[in-house]
Amino acid sequence: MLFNSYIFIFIFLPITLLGFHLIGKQGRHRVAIAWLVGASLFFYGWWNPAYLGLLLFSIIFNYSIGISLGSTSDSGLSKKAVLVTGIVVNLSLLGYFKYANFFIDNLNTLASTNITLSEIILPLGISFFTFQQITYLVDAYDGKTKEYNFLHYCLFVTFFPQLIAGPIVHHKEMLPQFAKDVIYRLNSKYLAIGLTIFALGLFKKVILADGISIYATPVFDAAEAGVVLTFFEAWAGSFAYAFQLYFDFSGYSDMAIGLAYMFGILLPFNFNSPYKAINIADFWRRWHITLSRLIRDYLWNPVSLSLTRYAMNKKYGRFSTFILNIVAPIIFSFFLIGLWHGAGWNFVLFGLLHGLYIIIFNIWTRVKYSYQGVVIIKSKNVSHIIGWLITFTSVVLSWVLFRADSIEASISIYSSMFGLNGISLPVSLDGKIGFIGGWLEGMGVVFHGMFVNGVFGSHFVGVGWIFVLGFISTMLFNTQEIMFFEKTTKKIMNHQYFWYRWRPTKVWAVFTAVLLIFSILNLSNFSEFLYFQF
Amino acid sequence: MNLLYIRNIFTIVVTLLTAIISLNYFVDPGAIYYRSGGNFPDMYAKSLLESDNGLLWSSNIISDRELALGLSSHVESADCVVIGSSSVMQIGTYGEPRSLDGTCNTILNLAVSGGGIADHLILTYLAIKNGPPKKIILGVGAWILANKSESMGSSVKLSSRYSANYEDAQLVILNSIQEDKVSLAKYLNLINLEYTKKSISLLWKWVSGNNSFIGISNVTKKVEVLIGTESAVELPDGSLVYPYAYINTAKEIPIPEDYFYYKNRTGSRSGMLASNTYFIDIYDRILSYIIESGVVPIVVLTPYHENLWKFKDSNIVMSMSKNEEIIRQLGKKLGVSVIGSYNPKNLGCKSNEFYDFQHATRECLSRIKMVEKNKNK
Repeated sequence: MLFNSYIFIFIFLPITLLGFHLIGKQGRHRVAIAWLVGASLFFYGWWNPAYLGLLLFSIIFNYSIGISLGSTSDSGLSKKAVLVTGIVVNLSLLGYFKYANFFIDNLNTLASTNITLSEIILPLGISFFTFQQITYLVDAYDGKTKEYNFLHYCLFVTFFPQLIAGPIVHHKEMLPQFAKDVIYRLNSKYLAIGLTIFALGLFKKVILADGISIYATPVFDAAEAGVVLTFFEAWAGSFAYAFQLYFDFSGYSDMAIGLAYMFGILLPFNFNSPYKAINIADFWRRWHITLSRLIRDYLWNPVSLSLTRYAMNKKYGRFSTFILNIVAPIIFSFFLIGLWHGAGWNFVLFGLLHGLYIIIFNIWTRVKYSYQGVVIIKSKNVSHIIGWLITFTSVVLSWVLFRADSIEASISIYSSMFGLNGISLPVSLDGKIGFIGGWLEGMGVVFHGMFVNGVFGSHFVGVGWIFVLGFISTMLFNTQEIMFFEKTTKKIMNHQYFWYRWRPTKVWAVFTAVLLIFSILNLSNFSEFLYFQF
Repeated sequence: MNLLYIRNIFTIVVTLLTAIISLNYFVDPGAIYYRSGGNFPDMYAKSLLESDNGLLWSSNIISDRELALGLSSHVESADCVVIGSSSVMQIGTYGEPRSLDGTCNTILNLAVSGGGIADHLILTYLAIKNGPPKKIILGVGAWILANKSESMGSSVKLSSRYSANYEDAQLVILNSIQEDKVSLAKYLNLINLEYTKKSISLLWKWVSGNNSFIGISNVTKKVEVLIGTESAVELPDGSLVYPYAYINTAKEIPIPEDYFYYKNRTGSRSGMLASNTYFIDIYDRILSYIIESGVVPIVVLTPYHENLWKFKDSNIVMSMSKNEEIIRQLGKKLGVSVIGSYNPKNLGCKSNEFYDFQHATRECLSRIKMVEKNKNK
């Protein structure tokens, strides 16, 4: 079931919400939780009931392993073996459903074999609920978990707002909330905030992301079909996709957070205006925050720490230490981030490209630190703009690998973006820009039109969309700045009131209602969320 | 404060949605709710078939898919039923020149604008269920088999009772239901932006005095099909005659020789060869189903303007040639006649017999005959 569907908005959500609070109001908290678990399983099973069994197996298995880890006091081999078993089973399931075909394809290519595997349908959200539970097991091993109630644990995994595409929640931030009495009573403040965040997210997805998708998709399809894109088509298509992905995924995350809020549950924010980032490390602190956090805590930190210890013990030199402490963990982490997103070489390359970005940024930071006295750009604003421009362009370039259906299509798009297929300007400029025209022609520029393949739809409108979405994502305030003013901006800006701050006023009610109406009227064109495939 | 806020949102949303639903229900641009009059498409179709010279046509009166649905109940009245897109909407036996002379004595044209593979499925299913006719003429456009498979049902999603037949058509012809479920489409129109825009536009016309949407208007004089009349006319055989102003564009406005003109109009399709085996398989099954039902299928390929064919090495022309080849191979495999051609030279169509690069005039279309099958072999 999709958040952006009539059945979800008009039937599933009201019934689930009402049922939960009616049962909770009578003090039957366990029944209320069971109701929510049941509803969440129904939500998941709506897509394909066959995979409910897999989800239930995963929950029961991980809960049992977690209990076993929590109750075993010794830190010896047996406890470690239980943890390893737990992780191996989780990764095997994920590997089978998500990576088996990819592995066999590569094996066939390398070994010239012809092994075939029947088509495996990827269960929705498997990457999300698998990683969520692996972190639980690791924490149970480290003695950081408590004796959680089974029903509560079920809800931690299945809670429908975050089940399919995150935010990836940590047991510490979810499970204690289920024990609070406050969530079982309908709270008008939570409902008002939740409804507004949901409306913002729905609008982002249905109007903004789906609106720009009709410009992005044909460009990538054409590249896949072998059409040689022009310079401007390639860039416009890539920008369009960058905004589609952001508004799609952040819209989904907003909806998830808003829905959870309606139930009195606080989920962590997943985006913080990533396209405002002024360097690539900043970008990853703002993009898919809960994934970055998970990778940092459970992958980067342990790997980096052990390699640092190893380098120190071996008394390596500066360069070798840098490679071991910085380069290796970064490449490893981003390789897995890439692979986490999909079973394909383009995803692996996407991850590695970002790893390379981070390494370059790291070197740059060290160089800057070493030459602190040397000032090339005096103005902080100018240096921020340059940083932003480089970061944004690098990210847009990386999305090509992320979106293109094949490496060949990516290469074709990159060729066009870097002008290797020539640059074509509007026919109307031919002969009208004086000596510049001649100079440009001398450089190989032609005047056949900027969008001659016709793959970018109505390009004036498409480019207009790009500018509007660019403005929204880089200049306007994001959801948490609007909704949780007190927790975010107040501390930073030290002002009490801003015009953009959400308040339960008539103006905000009209604004939210208009967002909802526009989104509902556009729901007929169902479209899935991009992050469902991961 | 928060409760009032929530109440305000709900009040606004419910009020606006109620207003929109009422607008769409009563203005009803697709004539499927209030204006359906119990069964407006059937009523319109009956009036059309009983008329001497046809009815004035506008999509404001009835959508072409609703009309095709209405006409599909009367397929037994003709030798041949035509299914396809706007390229074959003018094929008919009313007036001179007659189309498919020697192949069809009488024609009932069910073609719809933008007709895609889902329309072929629905109309084939309806024609055989309600008839069957002797022959089914399928107008296959140059890129119909080259679309993205997920967009298969997109052309029929918005059109109500017509699209309600989509699932049955898939079950009967393909023995399975593909990804698009559209049976709720009729009700979803009431809260759909596109339908609301149409309703507002229609309401505006009505308020500003243009009440052409109100009902059925008979054409009093016999229509000269090559000349046309002031308005578009739906002829008693279901074929369409454009208004004379539009017909004149074929003679008055030359088709550009600029390749980018074609690139812009074919869009991403220009780079797609008919390599979508998914659609080829579906079309194979449609043709097989027609044959198994004891009906003779005939595939018609309509020509594209000669100026486009001048760009021999372009993606567009290569794609069209390849698609024609694939369709002919499919015809050969199933023993189905494939007549006409995407290349106007094979039919003898002149340069001024096109409204635009992909829509030939009735005169040009009348040159498509069974003998073409041999010519193209």
